[in-house]
Amino acid sequence: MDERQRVAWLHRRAGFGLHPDALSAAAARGAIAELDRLFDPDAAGVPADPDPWADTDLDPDNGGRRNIVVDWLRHLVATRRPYRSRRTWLLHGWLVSGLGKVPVPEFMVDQLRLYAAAGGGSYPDLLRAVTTDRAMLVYLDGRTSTADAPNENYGRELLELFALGVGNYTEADVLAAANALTGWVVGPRLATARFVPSRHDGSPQTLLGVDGVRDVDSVVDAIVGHPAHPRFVAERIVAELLGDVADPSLGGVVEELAAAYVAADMHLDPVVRRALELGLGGARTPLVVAPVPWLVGALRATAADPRDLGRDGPDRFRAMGQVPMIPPDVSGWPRGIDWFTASSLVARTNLAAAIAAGTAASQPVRVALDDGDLDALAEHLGLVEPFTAATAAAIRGAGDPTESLALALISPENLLS
Amino acid sequence: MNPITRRRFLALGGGLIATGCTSGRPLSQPTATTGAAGPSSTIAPTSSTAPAVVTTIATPPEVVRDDRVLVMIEMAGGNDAVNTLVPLTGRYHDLRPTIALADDSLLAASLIPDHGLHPALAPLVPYVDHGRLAAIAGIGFADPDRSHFVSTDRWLRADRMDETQGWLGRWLDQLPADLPALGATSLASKGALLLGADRYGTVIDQVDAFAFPDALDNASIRALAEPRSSDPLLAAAQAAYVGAVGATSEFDTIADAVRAELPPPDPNAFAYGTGAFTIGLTVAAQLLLHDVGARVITITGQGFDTHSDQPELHAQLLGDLAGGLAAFWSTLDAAGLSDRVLVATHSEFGRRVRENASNGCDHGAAGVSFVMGNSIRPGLFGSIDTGDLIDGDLRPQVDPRTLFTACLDWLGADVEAILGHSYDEVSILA
Repeated sequence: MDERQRVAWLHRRAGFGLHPDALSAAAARGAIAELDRLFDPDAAGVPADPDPWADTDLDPDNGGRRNIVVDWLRHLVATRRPYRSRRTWLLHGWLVSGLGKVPVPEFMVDQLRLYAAAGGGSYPDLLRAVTTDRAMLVYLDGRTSTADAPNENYGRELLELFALGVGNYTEADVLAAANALTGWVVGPRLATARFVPSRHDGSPQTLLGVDGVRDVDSVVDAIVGHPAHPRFVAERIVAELLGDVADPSLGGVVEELAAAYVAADMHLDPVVRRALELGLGGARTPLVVAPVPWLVGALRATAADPRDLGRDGPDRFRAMGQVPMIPPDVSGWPRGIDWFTASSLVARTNLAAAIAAGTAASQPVRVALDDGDLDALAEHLGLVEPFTAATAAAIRGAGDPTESLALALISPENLLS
Repeated sequence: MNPITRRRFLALGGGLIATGCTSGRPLSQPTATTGAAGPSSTIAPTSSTAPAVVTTIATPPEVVRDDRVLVMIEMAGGNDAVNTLVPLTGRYHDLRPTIALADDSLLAASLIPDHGLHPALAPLVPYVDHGRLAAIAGIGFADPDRSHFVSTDRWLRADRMDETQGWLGRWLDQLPADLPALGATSLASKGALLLGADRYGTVIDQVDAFAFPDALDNASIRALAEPRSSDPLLAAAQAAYVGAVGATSEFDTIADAVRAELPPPDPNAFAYGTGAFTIGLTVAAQLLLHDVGARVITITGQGFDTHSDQPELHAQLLGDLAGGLAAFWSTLDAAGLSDRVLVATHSEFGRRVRENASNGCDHGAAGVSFVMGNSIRPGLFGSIDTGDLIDGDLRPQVDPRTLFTACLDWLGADVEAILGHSYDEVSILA
């Protein structure tokens, strides 16, 4: 890859892609400088992003649930700190909560603010914080778990999905974690969750072979102290950013990142950065771009206005199969070819047509089309390679530039990164 | 997390849904059922086997196919079997002081002794009484797993965890020719049960949005797919576009009729609302009425993971299921299609028998499946036995592959080739 391709790849995986003008500027800086800029935007003088929900009407009776989704989309499209925004998106799909069970917009945005503020630091600290986060206490029922009858929901998913993975714990560990985490409540007039000692099982639990576990800190300590934890985190990062763990080009990467995670005192940003460096060095396989990152990328590349998607924007998310803040279940969204369903591709095509219709003729993607320069169009979209013969022929055979641009946006190449 | 194997990449790149002709072999002729006048919510028996129904649907086009059809309904999240089919004896009330259903609210059904049905299942009672419904209680794999994701995969793959195909995907692979574009359709966001090595089903998540935009020509979208790339992921996307063009073209011929039957959208609903079963079964009935060659249809309803505030939510979900099923069969009865159709429900596990403190219950082991059709052995298989628990959960009594065997037998499939063994210790089909 040349430097422009390296930077384009970086932004597709670690951000949401760039407008062609921004991509040219980033390419001039080079991939390593761009990594510095993504991971330390303050040092690079990149202006801060506003809070996505600073002006959002959160009242559920005023459409608060819809408002927070729409405003988050606008934020992702406009973000000047794309890695930070991507990291929050990644954590949202990992440490999952959803509006279906947490119908309180304030709780949901506060959880995402937590991920935005603390997502790059200590992962054990993030686990501690999210364990008593109001949205999480509602989503996985911690708020109603008491010493008399512990609710296993959070304890199980903490072990299975957030920190260790199936096969590394027993049913007794699930119950031990649930017991030790009892006693937290959420109330309409409480700004944060509250610990109620009378609801808590204070008896010492044995969790993953560690005795004396009885509260949030000791639960998280026991879990992150398990030898399977670093590898679990490393595999997640590889699957999100680099590709197929089983591919030979990724041999040894999980082990290296697991070691990097431990060496970084279990902070996420250093291990993500190392993963991206390895990816730039060739440790990568193609990844399917999920619907929301695809949509955000298309809007960023074309400078089309998300408001042109119409008032039914969130419903079109639904048709694509991915609505921010409404994951299908606690495991988040699927990855890979599960996104190549007829339903999802039809929905992406409808959105692509709307975006193409809303793209100004002066935009670089349109100018490239008018010039018949499909290599330039592929570059503007951040593709690492030129269009395939099939896509090029389809684009050239389209009836007008709008249809051509829509076809480029839905091309198989642009569904991958 | 759902790692994608290389084999699956390759499988999906390999060709797939074409517009071939179904290889259906005649198994049974549709039997006309005479409708009678009356309110559509009432199901009045007119014979010993089939309730007569009333429906307001338009006269369907003439049905020419006679292939058998299977509808699989997933109750995702882990349906609470104990409050679905309540045991009338044992420790039920002791273990569930808060969420137990009152005895006098339970519905008695003549062919299901010793148990009462959840009151929200009232629309299904006539079907039980007339021999059109069987309950398989205590269904679950031996050595159960309380992980949603492990258990769901076991159910979808018939416990062949070294493979990624669903057991109905293996059936698709086995067919001598491709099904029509809507021959195997998932009315959900995913289609894992219909994923084979060489073929897969069509996913239609939202019927009101299942059309390509006017601005893009079908030929243009098809052009993206030729020539086929040597890269497996690109080829999989290309194949998926070809499949989507075929499916939307086919669906377009019936879309207006289907949408006309759907309940009006809830203006307050945002994305995933309730009513998934009613919507899915309405669409399923229309696919059958309009003869698009559907052989298998899968429907998924979320929300059964009732760790908290279970009673109202569970009643709502079961009511949606039962109401949707009653309307489905009414429509099929009126059209004379019922004899061709088998319906089965499944859920990844049942729930813990003892309630938790959250007005709900945690993940458990064995559950309950319903099977509906005119050619089943009705009544109760197994039992909900609160006196014989393992780790507080219902003990698995019936292997889920027994249900899958019946479903595959119904489709005329080579069961042993698909499941490795024919699980016919319990015979569900008549």
